[in-house]
Amino acid sequence: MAPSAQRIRQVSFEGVSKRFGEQAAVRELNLEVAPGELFGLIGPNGAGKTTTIKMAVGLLRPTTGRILICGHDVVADGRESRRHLGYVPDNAAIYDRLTGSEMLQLAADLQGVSPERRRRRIPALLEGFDLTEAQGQMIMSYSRGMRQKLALCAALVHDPEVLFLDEPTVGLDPRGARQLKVMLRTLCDTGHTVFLSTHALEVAAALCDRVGIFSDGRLAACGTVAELVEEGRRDGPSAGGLEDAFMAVTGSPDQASADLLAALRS
Amino acid sequence: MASLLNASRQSLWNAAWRRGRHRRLGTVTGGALGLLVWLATIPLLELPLGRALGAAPGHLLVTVTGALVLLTGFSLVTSVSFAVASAYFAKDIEWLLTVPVSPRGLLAHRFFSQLSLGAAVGVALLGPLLVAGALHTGTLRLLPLVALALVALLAAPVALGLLLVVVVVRVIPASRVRDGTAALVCLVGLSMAGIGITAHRVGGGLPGAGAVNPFGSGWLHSAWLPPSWAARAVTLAWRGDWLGSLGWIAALLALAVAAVSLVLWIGGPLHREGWARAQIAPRRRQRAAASWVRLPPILALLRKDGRTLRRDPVQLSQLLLPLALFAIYLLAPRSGGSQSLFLDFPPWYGPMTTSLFAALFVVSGLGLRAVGSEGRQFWCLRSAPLGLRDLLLGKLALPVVVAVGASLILMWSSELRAHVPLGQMGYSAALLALSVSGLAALATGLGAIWPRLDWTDPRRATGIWLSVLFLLFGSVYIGICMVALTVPLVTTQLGTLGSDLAAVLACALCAALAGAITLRLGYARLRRLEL
Repeated sequence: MAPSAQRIRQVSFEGVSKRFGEQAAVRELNLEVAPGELFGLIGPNGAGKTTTIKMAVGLLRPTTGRILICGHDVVADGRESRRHLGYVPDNAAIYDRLTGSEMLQLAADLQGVSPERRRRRIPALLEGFDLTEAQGQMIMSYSRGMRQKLALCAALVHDPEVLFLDEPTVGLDPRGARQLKVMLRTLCDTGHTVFLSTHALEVAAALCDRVGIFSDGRLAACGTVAELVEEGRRDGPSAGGLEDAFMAVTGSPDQASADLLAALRS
Repeated sequence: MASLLNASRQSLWNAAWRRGRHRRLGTVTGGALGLLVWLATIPLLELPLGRALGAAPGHLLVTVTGALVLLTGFSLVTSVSFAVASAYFAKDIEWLLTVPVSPRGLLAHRFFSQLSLGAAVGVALLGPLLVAGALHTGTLRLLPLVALALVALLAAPVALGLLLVVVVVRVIPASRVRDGTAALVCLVGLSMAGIGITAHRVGGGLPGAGAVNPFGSGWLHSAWLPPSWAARAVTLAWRGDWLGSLGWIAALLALAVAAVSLVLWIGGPLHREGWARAQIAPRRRQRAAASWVRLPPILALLRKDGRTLRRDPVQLSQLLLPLALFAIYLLAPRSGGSQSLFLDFPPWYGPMTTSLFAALFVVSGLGLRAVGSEGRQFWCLRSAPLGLRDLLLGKLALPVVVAVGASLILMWSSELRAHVPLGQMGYSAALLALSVSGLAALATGLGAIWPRLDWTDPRRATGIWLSVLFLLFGSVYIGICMVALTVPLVTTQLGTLGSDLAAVLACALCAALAGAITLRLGYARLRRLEL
């Protein structure tokens, strides 16, 4: 693919489906994310968000369709596509018996980061996420939030063009969450693409340029927050927030809530 | 406590039966095979046991006591390890401490779980012996008494292990105790094997009690030793004296009740305090800053795996134990068994064969779990631009380095004692390095074909069946290697350049074939693997 075309869309899902045996986790996903865009995927548990991200980073293979990262097919040209991305899974498990700085050195080695670049970048990342003091301690002594921050640092060590984050704010304290939001916005402003999944609708509403709502393996709605809210208003009575738009697309839990209340009262 | 025990039973059943067709098939096959082996052992034991039963009563008592002492020691050591894991690191412990279960009830549940496991192990190990004895003496109807004696005997070491852990964790953080337990298990195993091997070498065989009693027989007659109470209960049952047997069992039961009461009385309140203390992170040690040097991926993985191994006492002790045992075997006084087998061969032949088997156990620990030990962290490597070939080679690097290094040290130590010329030491080192590299590749490849990635604990990275399979394949590989390198040595004149080169080539061919086939299969498996 020509470089100019690569600049147009950094992440591209073309008719992507994923089945686990009889169960379809993702169905016919067509989606493009442009450079500098912060795209948020929201949806109920089990809707297919994590599967989508795992396919994009090469941990799962699409059953049908293809995914391009900066023009590179994640299956046919997986190694090259992975040079352009950084990934932080939900509740990231990282090597407990390495220290923070050793973990970042490992990530830099695997990504082929030059000594000069890592000398600049690693201290800056550690400083940015308040991990400088803990960098010499083994990760097993880190809190969940510190692990999450370290996984983010490892994903950013090679300055990837596309960053995939699965539930990035889970486990972070308000300060860490704020730092992350500022950092993500700054990344997008400098031309990087961020693709994240979240349950926190307020994060999606405040941060994302575009939001996709996943339901039952399908991308049920996609657009800016304003567009989704407008769409939600058209579909039924709504107070006008992203939450209402979300409920309109994924189905209201009102009956389930009533059942739960009844069970609690009994 | 009854509810907790019921939940444990239900979990066990679910794990064995309700996790799909494959698991059910595995359970049925494994269970049937195990039962078959267990039953087949009974007639095999009847003959030697018949002789022992015909011998003097004192001799029989010492033999049975020796076996029960070993079982008690094994239960005590494993119960320490189990107690640390189940009372402080189990996933359910935090929840159980918040529900209205009394601390003593919680400890009692842990105790009975461990006792059930200990009894199952006891039945698996000693069951055939006890059934064979009952069959031979025609006292099968008294078998329940024998089983009761066994369970009552095991209660005391299990309780003692639990109490020891609860008291120690009150003072020392649980994580340190867990690491220390690994060293303890290593030390106990090493001491027993060391004493056994040395006694055998020096004494030319073990006294009366036979292979089950490496310590000699004198103190086993002592009536203060609880295993000898159980042994008396068993031997009296075999003679049909059920009343006498019951008397000793009553003593054992009284001891068990006293031990359990002591654990629950002292341990109950201490457990919660110790658990709360364990939540306070231990003092954090600052390690040296990482260097900025850029390493190729294979070396980066080698460095990462080396650091992980060095900082994990459990893995380290599992690695060092077989090495230490082989070192004792090779260097114990009056050692020479291996040389006498290979009188017509070069002087390096015996030490090299033994060192190859030492390497088999090293790579069984390191190579077999090389890929699986990535566990839930595997995403770090799979989402990086790292080719699968580099990944496999990187995971192969540590087993090769450690196994080649350790087996070379073992072989050279033995060769130095045997005054092997320097040139031959170098030549045998080349042969050994080639063979061990092939062995490490075999293990790494097999581990990649069946990795267990569900855990963060490297000890869980391989299943027992894969370990057994590898020990089988690895032994066959060593046999083929030794035959392949021996053929040129015996068909041509020993020590000529041609024969030496042919032996090296044969060795290299074996290593390359074994490594290439299994690594290729492992590569294909990893390509299909989804996380």
